[in-house]
Amino acid sequence: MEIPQGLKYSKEHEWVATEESVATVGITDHAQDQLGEIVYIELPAVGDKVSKDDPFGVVESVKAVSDIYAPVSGTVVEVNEDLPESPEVVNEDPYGDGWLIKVKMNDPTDLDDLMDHEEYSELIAREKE
Amino acid sequence: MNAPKRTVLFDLHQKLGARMTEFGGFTMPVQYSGIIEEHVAVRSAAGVFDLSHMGEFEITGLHALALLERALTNSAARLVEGHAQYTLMCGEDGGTIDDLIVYRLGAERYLLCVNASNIERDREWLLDLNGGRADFNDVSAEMSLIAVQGPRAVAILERLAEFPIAAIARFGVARGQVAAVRCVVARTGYTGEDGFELFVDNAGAVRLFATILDAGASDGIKPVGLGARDTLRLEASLPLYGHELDAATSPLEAGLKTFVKLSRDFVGAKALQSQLDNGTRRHLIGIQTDDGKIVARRGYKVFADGGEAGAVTSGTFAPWRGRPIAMAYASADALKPSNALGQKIEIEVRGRRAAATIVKMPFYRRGDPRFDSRVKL
Repeated sequence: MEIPQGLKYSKEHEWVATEESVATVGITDHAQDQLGEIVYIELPAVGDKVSKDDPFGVVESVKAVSDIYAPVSGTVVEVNEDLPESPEVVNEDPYGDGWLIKVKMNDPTDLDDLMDHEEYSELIAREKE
Repeated sequence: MNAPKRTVLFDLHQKLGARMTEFGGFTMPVQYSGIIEEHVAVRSAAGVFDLSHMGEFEITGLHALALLERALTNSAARLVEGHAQYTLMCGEDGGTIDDLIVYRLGAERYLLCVNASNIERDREWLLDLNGGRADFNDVSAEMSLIAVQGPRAVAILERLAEFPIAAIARFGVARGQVAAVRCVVARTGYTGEDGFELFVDNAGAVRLFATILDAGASDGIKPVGLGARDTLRLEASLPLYGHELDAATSPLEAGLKTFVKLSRDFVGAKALQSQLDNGTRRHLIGIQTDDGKIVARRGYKVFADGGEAGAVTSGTFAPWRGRPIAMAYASADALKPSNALGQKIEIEVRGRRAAATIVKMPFYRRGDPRFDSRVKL
């Protein structure tokens, strides 16, 4: 399972990449693998507010539906416009073309509550036990 | 809770990279390469399934037919040797104990294939009705079941069978060797495709499964798990016990009147006759969400004619139809009296109402072309 260095991870299996005060959010390789083939993704609109630990969207796979939780609070500044037509990109490239939204963070210290590569790797290892 | 049982194919599934899940008391493969890929393989080429969790009863002797005629809604008396029928077992109240297939293997020799989760209950129920007259043998633990389904199934098995397997008619059953393994071969299935189900002693199951996979490689055969089995049966609008059928649901509510032969003395006949005379309280309906994206999942509430009318029993993204489909029960009062097809309803999806339409079932008929919203031109 791919868990890139340099990203932050939530216990709900979202990843965050930050550039100044803007956080790019997606779901992890582990999350997409668990969900299986993704067929539909519901995302907020640009300008919507998201709150840390609250659901901001929904991902439907063939077998299940899951909420996607915001790892940080802020305002959505961009959404991945390709996903409504090609949700399978999240399976194929969860850390790249399969990103979900970009959020202008209210409080960058939100990031302190997230896990790094090592901590998230441990979480995945524990879940597999 | 007992630890889940394994079929004799467990090691082979692991070797094939299956992801396993618990179902009906067994550890079964849920998927190998992926649900959509496996589903498409069955519709366009072939798939091979381990269904060894299913239960098998052999009922033989002079009193075998009498037991089946008493216990089952379809008339086993109409079944000629070498044929099979879909049937149901009901309680006195007309609620469904199980749905199953009866195979008539000889003059006084029947094989019943029942759902894994119902094996014990079915056995006790049948033994009770039998009262020791027919010879009853639960062979579930010794028997494996392998299904080969899809348009290439006949061609693949013809290469391996030492008898004219293509001559078996739809819902026919014969005995013979396949891949040098003695089998009971039936032209039945649960996918909406042509294909076979092969009952074998556990000892021959691994060889049979592996040989079929090998022989069908050039045809594009794939091992298929329970994930795609569910999407295939749902697309073909076949009921699943525990979803569309249960002890509180009659076969008539489930739209299975064809398999209920009344005017006979079987358990539940009176209740079912009364339902038929007075109309059932609710009907099984097919649903599509209007936006073509939201999946109405099991348990979601159905609203029709201004009020809550029922709930979804099964829902999924249909890989061949390329859109979500669902089945639900809706109260007869909320449905248009003559024909509810096309009626607009709503499904409660995560606290919101999604527009949906009642559509004709089955969602898929053999040979329907694929619509794949995910394929880009």
